[in-house]
Amino acid sequence: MIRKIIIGGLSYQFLSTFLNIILLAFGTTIISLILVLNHAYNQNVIKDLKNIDLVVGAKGSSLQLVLSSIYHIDQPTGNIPMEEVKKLQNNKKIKSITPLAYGDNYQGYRILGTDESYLKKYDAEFTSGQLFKNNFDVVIGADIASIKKIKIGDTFYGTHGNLAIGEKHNDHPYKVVGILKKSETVLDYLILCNTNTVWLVHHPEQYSQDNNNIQINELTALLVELKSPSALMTLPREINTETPLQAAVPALEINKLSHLTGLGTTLLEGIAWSIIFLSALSIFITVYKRVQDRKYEMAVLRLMGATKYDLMRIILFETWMTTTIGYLAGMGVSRLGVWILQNKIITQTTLTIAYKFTPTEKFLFPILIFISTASVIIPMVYAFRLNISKILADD
Amino acid sequence: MLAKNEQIMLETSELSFTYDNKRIFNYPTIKCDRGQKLLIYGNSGHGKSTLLHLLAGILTPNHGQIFIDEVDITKLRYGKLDKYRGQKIGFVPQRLHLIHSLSVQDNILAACYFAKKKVNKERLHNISEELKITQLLDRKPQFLSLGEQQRVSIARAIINAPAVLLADEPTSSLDEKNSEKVMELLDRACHLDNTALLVVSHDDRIKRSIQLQISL
Repeated sequence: MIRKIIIGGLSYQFLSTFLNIILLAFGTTIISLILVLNHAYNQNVIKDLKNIDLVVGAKGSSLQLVLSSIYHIDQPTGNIPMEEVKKLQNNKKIKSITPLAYGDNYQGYRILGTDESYLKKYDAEFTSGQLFKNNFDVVIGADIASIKKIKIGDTFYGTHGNLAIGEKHNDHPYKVVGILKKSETVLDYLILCNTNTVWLVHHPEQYSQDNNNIQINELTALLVELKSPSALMTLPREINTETPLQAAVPALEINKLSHLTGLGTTLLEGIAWSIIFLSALSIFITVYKRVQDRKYEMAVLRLMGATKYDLMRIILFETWMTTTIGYLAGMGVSRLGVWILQNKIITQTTLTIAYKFTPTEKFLFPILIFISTASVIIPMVYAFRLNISKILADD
Repeated sequence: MLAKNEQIMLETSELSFTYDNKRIFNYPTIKCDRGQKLLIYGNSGHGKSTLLHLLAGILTPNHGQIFIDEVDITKLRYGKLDKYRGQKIGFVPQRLHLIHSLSVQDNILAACYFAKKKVNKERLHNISEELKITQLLDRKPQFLSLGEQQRVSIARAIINAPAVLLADEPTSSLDEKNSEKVMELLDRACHLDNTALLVVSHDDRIKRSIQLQISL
C-alpha cells in the first residue's frame, strides 16, 4: 500500500520528479565515470610501470617517449642505433635492458618486437601456446585474441605504422604461437614477436639469412631496470648529456601528466557535485511543494490511522525512490559510457576500464542518499507538524 | 471515572477546549450507544467541528475525558492514538478527498493498512455491495461522480468496523434528494456493524433522520 502511495506521490508532479531524476542521473554519471577512469588510470599506470626505472629512446619529448614505450599510446620519438644500445648493455649501473622495436600493427593493434624479459616484467602467463621461438611467430594479448577471435596457428599480415589503414606487408605472414592470459596490463592489447621479425618485415632482403646473421641496426626504445635507486639520480643525466639518446624517468613523467589531467578531473568533479547539490535543492523544492499541495490528503491519511512518522516515511521513501532511480539511471549511463569507451573509443590502447564498482564508487550511493535525505528534512518536519484539525476545518 | 458499559460506544464528560486562550468551548456530556444515531447541531462558530475533531483524537481537549469503546482516548499518546483512531473511529470529512493515485479499492484498503488491520476481502465485498460501489472498485476517484465519491468515502470510514462513525456536515452542499440519499447511506453503513453514528451539522434537514439531538 505504501508503495502505491509513494508511486502516486511521485507521479503527482511527474515533470518535477523527472527533472530531479535527470539531474541526479547526470551528476551520478559524471562522478561515476570520473571515478572509474581515475581508478583505471591509476591501476594501469602503476601496473604498467612495474620493473621499469628508465626508458631510453631517441631524443624528443620525454613524455612522448614514456607514453609510446610503456603505454603504447603515442608515436615513438624515433629509432636508436644498435651501437649505443650495446654501450648501455655494458653499463654497470644497469641491471637489465628490454629491447623494443616498433613498426607495424594488425588492425590497429601494435606489433611489438621484444624478448622474453618483456613478458617477465608483467608476470605474463599463457592461456595456450608458448613464447615466440622463430621469426614471425607472435604471441597475442588476451583482449586482442578475444575481440578478433584469434587462435593458435592463425596467420595474418601486418600493416605498416600505427594506423590500421596503411601499406600492408604481404611478404610474410605472422603466425600465432601463443595467447596470453588477461593481465589488465599493456600486454592485453599487444602483439609480441622477436626483434628480428620487426627488422625483417622492413628489410625483406634478409629473409633468407640465418637468424644469427641478421644484422639489426636500430631499435625503437629500451626499458631499463637499474641495479640501485641511486643510479636513477645520475644515469639519466649521463645518457642525456653524453649520448645521442634520451633517458626519461617514467614515474616523473607520469606524475607531471597526472598533475595536468588532475586539474581537469577536479574541475569536472566540482561540476558533477554542483549538479548533485542542484538536484538536492530541486528535490527540496519539489517535495516541499508536494507536501503543501497534498496536505489534505495527508490529513485524510492521519484520519485513517497513519502516524506522523508514517507521513515522514512516505516523504522519505518518495525521496529515496527518486534518488535510487536517479542513481541507477546514472550508473547505467556510466556503464554504457564505459562500454563505449572500452569498445568504440579506446579499443586499441592499453587502458583497461573495468565495469565493476571502484572502491570510491561504492560510497556514491550512500552519499546521494544522505544528501537527498538532508534535502527533505524541512518538508518532513512540515508534514510532522501538520495541524490536521486546522486543515480539515479550513478546507 | 465513567462506568463501564459495553453498549456505550462513545461517551464524554466535562469536555472543554480553548483556542489560544481566547475562544473557550465547553461541551455537554455526550453518550452514544452501539447502533445509536446522534446529531450535534448548531450554527457556525459554536464548536461543532472542534467537537468532532476532539472525538476523533486529532485535537487534545484542555479538560475532560473521551471514551471510545471504553478506552479514554485522551490518555492515548502518539502512535497508539493514531492506531486506535484507525481501528475504532470512522471519519467522513466534509470534503471527500480521496487519494487520486489509488484505485477506489486501494483508497478503502488504505484504511486497513494504516490501522494495521488485516484486509478482509469478504467485508470489502459486503460493504461494496451495500453501498453499491462494487463496479467502481478498479476505477480511479477522479472518474467518479460526487455521489460515488461520497459512497467510497463512507466505505473507507467503515471498512475497519469502527465503534463510532463521525460525519462532518455530510449534507451541507447537497440538495434535498441527495441529502436524503447520504443519510440513508450512513444509516445503512452503520447498520452493518451496529456502529454508533455521530453527525455534526447545521443542516436542519438532518433533524428528520436523526431523533437523538444535542444543540450547541
